[in-house]
Amino acid sequence: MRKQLWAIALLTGLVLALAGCASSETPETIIKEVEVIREVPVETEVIKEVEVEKVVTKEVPVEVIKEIEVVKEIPAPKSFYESPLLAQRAQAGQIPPIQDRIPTEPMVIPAASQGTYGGTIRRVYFGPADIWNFGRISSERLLRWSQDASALVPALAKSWEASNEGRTWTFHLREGTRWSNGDPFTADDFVFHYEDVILDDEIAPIKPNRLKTVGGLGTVTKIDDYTVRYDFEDPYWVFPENIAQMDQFNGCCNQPYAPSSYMKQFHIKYNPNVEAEASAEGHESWQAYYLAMFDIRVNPLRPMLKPWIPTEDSRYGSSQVFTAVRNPYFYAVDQYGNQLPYVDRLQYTLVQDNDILQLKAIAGEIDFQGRHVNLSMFPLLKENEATGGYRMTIWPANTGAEIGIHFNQQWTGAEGDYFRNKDFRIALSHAINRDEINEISYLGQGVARQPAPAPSEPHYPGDQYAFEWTEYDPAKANEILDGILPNKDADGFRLMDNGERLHIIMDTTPGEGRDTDTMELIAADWEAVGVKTKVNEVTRTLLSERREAGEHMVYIWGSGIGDPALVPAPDWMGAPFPQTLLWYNSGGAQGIEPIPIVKELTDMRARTTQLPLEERIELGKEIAKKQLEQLWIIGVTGLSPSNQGVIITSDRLRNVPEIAANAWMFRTPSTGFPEQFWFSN
Amino acid sequence: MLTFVLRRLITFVPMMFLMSVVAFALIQAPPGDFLSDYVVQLQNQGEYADPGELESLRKQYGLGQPIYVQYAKWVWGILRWDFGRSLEMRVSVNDLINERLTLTIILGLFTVVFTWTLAIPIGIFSAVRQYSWIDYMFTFFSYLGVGTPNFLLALVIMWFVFAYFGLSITGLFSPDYVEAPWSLGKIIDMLKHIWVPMLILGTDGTARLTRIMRANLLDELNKPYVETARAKGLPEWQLIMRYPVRIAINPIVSTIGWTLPQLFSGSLIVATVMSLPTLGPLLLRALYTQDMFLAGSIILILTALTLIGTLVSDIVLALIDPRIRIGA
Repeated sequence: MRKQLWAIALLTGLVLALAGCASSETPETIIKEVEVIREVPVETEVIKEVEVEKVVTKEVPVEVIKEIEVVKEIPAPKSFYESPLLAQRAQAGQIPPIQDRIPTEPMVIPAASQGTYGGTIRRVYFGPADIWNFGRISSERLLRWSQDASALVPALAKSWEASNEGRTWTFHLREGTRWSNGDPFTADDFVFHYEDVILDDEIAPIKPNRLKTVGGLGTVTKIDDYTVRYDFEDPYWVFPENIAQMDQFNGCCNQPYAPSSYMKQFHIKYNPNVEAEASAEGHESWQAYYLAMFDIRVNPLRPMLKPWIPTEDSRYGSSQVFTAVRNPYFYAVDQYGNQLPYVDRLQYTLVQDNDILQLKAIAGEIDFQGRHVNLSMFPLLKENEATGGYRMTIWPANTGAEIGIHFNQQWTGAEGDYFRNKDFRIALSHAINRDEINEISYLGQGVARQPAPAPSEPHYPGDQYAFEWTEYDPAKANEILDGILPNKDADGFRLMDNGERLHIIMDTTPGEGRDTDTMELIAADWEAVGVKTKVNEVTRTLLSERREAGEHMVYIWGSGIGDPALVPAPDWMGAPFPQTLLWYNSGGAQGIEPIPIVKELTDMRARTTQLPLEERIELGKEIAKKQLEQLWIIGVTGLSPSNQGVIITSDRLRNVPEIAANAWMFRTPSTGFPEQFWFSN
Repeated sequence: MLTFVLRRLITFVPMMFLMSVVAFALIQAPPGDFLSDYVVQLQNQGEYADPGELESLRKQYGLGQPIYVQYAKWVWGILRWDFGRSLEMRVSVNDLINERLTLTIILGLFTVVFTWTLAIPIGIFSAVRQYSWIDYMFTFFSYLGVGTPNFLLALVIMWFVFAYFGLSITGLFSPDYVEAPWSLGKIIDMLKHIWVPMLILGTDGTARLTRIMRANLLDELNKPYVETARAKGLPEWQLIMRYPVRIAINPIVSTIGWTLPQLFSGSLIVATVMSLPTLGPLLLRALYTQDMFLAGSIILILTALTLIGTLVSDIVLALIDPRIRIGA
């Protein structure tokens, strides 16, 4: 997600700028007030004393940690069951018996109903870059989000806690967890990956952002075989949300661990011959060889902790049919003691075209898929539900606005004066017929709104911010515009003060529910109030190049996308102020110095990473309000299921929830817990 | 004859070299590189690329090096029959191309054979029975064939088969055989599937060749030598097949050279629409993702095939037409 990219780039940029501010908080005062808070939770009716709470906001952190830690787990089953396929293999002595393959305290994924083992979930995929098509459904993480994404739930880690004011995080692993090849999964896997991979400048020239704070890279320590500790220079309260997203299965760094006993054979520290082996395999260096062998697209034999693992001869991206089968060592069971997953395998057919997906779905050849299913396919797919033997489900996304109209505030042309005029932007916001766009482009599934966070997010700033200036009122728009651009030319288009026609060029690229046709509707609405607008469709690469160089007048992109930190992403850094990130990154040497409000927002955003949850949410709300008030970005519609939220589910597939949180950060459909899906006959 | 073939073979090498440079340069021409496109593809799904991953990719593929270094490495590899590693698929280009090339050539051969066995007799028949109702019928169908874009035909047939038989006819194999090694079963399975794309791809060519064959033969039929032969009492059918047809077929033989590349580009959309595991979609994708080693290698192989095809058609022409042989 672009927003996250910016967030990360920004964080690194701010390392220098904010080094001074970091220590401005005084820890002593907090300690004093801790006792006060302890008394509060005893009276269970705290909720009613809203005002009292607001006054005390600054001291809440200690309480909040407990809230994160207390995660209800269903009582663990006593005896365990397994797939008949695995039972056979265990009987034949090929794999150990079930109780030796799963942890002593396995993760318990509550199944909506008890199922039977077997079956294949058939999907389609588009090639190697579609890697998350597999990674999201067959996910492997220390922590993951609950179905409604309201809380993190323990996954590979059975519990975690913070100490030292959020500077130290300790994770407790499940004893007896094993990699897909049977190797034990222990703290050594974390230490190896940290010391021999992440700290190696050749393999990892860029250190993982999620392990960084203002003070630099955190450290990893093994406490015992099943306990790992992370230490940071600064309070890092969003670390659980961040480590829950360290689940890349390629590349060097965005994962907390690696299968150390397997990967050591590719590391020069443990295998002196690795250079020779690397060049024999056609790699330039042992590091390149290591990285290739770590990438499961290249090396499906690399041990994993996923519910489904690639078969030996499957190559993700180049195989016409990619197959992943159940991991005999998967660490989770359901409440009945059945080792998950229920479904035997995932099978992906490589296609080149969305129409094939549609055809396959109608023919009943897709069992569960939301990815690549466009909202525009919904009517046809819905119509053929009975013939194809499937049902359509909608999982709305938490995207604040699929269409965010970003005005370049740093545009140097004569148009720039108007783009910087908030009244001008208010007028153009009123000129858009959002309901029509929602009906035509989003089948009425979206919500006409500004790019505010989703109402389900704790940092939702309130309806007055989400819906301000969204009513369709061309008369009002004309009235405002008449005050700013009173003169019109013969064609009825408004003229700028220099006598030239105001001609807005709107850069856009199709994707994520942003069709160019929709932009034409917006352009028509604007032209109806006398503002000449041209929609300029470019390729995605060119779009981002133009944005980085500040060559866009108006730029179309999603905005208000959910963020794990529960604070708004710094959307102002991208298109509205394209030269500002460079200013921060270069320490003020290049780019354009941001205006005070941008500086303030940026500073507020940087502060959030160091705040515990509740304070962070409050600050997040403030940021959202401040940003939305500026209207640098006009929202059109949001909260539609257009990105991966239109889901085809086979009639035979059970336990698929009617709704589950849908966002990249949650790795949807992981929030639907596909491990507990099962096929009925 | 031998010197002719040798001369052609010698020009082969500089041609290939030139093509490799052009191909490589063209693939580099659009803005951005493979990595920027990779980032974009992830963004298309609302995901994002980890900077660490991108850096390690840059390292693995030597993308930071100057273009001429990358080119030199690639060409040096090809000299040792190693086409490099696909940036996107992360596997050896040789492995990727092998099977698809085989399938492409098989499909191409099937289509050519289908086209010829249908087009030449129909063309002859139409010419000999000019302005008969059969000629009109063939003319009607061949205009229809030329006029219908074959991807549209593919879509229509796919819809038809789906609507009436409930099957989705995509690919060249049943799911059971897709990843299976080659066996008699797999060949039979392929034969069960290959006729649909063969029919679709062949329609256009058949219609076109029928027209060419008909026109060429009509030119010949009125010539004095035909009259002479007829006057001498040669049976009509034998006469036509032995003399005018042999001359009329020359232009068709000379098209062998570009039949293969034409099938490639012509079949691209069909292959994409029908999810055929041929080289076309792979090339399209490689160009789209700026996977330069893969795209470059496919273009190079295509060039080689075209050059070989032209050579073959020249040799065949010389063999069937004594006039050309003597002229050379």
